[in-house]
Amino acid sequence: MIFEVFCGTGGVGKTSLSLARAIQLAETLETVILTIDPSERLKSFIETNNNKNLKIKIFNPELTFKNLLKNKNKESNRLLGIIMQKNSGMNELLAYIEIDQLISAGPQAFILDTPPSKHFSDFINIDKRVLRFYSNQMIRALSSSKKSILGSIIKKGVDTLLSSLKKLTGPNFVDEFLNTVEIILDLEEEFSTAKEIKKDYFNSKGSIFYLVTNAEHSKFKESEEIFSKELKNIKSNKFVIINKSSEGLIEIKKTFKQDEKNLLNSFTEKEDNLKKLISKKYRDYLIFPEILGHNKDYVLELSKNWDEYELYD
Amino acid sequence: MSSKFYFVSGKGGVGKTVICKVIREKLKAKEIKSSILQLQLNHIEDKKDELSFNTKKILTDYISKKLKSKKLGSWIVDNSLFQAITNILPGFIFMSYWGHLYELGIGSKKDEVFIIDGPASGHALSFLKAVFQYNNIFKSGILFEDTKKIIDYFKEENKFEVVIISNPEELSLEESIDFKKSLKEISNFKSKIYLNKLIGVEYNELQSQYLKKKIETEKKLIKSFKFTESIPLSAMTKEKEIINDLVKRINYDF
Repeated sequence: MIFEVFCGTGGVGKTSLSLARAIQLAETLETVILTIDPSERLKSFIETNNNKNLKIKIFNPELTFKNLLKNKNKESNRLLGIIMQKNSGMNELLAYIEIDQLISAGPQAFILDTPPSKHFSDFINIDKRVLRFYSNQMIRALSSSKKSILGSIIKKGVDTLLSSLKKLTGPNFVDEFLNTVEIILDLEEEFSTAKEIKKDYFNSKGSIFYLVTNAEHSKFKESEEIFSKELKNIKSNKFVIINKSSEGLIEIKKTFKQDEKNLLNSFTEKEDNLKKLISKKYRDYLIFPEILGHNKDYVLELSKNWDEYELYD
Repeated sequence: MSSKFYFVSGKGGVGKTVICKVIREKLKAKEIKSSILQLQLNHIEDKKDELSFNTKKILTDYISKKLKSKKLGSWIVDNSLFQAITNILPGFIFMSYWGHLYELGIGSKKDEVFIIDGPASGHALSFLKAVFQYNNIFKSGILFEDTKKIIDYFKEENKFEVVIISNPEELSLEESIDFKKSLKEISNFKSKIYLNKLIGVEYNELQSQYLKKKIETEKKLIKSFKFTESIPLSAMTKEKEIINDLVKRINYDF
């Protein structure tokens, strides 16, 4: 199975580019694309997608969680409802459950559009976070079934914390919170799939991670830092993509007025600066042109550009 | 005039940070005191089992103040159980940031404008929503009282304004419009979308095909979304120059 992950800050065209890739792959392979990015821009594409080879999924944490609870015969509560919402604490974890389910259906290619930059760190480090949560003695101590085996020091700590919490948040919240912890503790097995997915797919030599950027975007350095730091120990291939490139699109004639020349030069200068930055750390990059004009089918146009790159031997 | 907040949001790369600085320069010209607050809501420092420094400090200060004990505040924030809670409930961090904003300006009568360099729209929404969510969840306790005060502040006229920056691209603008709608659903937040990096506002009689096509797209967008608020693209490439350039060219009254 082809497994490719698109990373980068919001607004660089990550979603469009990953969708374009999925469309291109779907010409020959059964392809699934999942976008975890909070925006729902893919909706219009889903409505018009009639390619049976291509399955487009927008991550819906609330729905994923609902199904998870249903399988476990558990009731949700108000607090859990909030935690499971978009951009909340459990998002990344639920995303892995969704990935697991989609992969289980056995597609030939899987494309993942990850959350922007900083949340990418949370996303990629999810296994550590899960482990930290489930191995936390105090968390386990909160669960009523395990209370009896508590050491007295831990118990005292838990009590102090809970009584402070009560002052801060009111007693109702604390009760609701304890109930929530109980439910999350019960989902340990399900949430542990995150670790497996990271091992089997993220950390596989055959997988590809793309860092998407563009010249208009001033934060390449920051997102590259996160990208290389988080993927340091991951064996997958890594590529940088310059999206919305103006290379070859700009022509400056002598007859142009000076301010027009300045403006055009500024586009080129920004892109050259970006290329210089990339060259410091990467041997090469993939480049995708800016699709000009008001074009509804621009993702289709973009997908043709993927044909220029042969990324597998 | 007392305090006022501009909460600047929009997708990554639309130019939030630059616009924050432009607003500050505009205010400076009017001799209004202002400061920019970087709002970074990342909860856990990845490698170490610790909260990132800034978040940790804000959280510790806030809880210490609320419980009237520095010792207890530090102990709570260092507590692994509490950290695990903030891991799954970012609302705690959000509330401590709100508490920080409260101390800075919401609760004070000082004449000062605070420009918040906010997170991208989705996360900005969670952050703004948190006050209302936790107001609803807590129902009592010290933090609940704070949520009430902040919500009251939101209700005052001209106190809290969300500035949404968008690129002149259809997807970016659609997202901004969704964001604006969601803000209305949470509470009656005053918000305005600014179409940034427009070429067609000031340049005309261009000859380049590349720019002509870009302007064509802009015009269609402005027409179909009935847009008025626009910020021109600067031909400068360094941040400082861009800011100076934009201060001269933008006429909005902040």
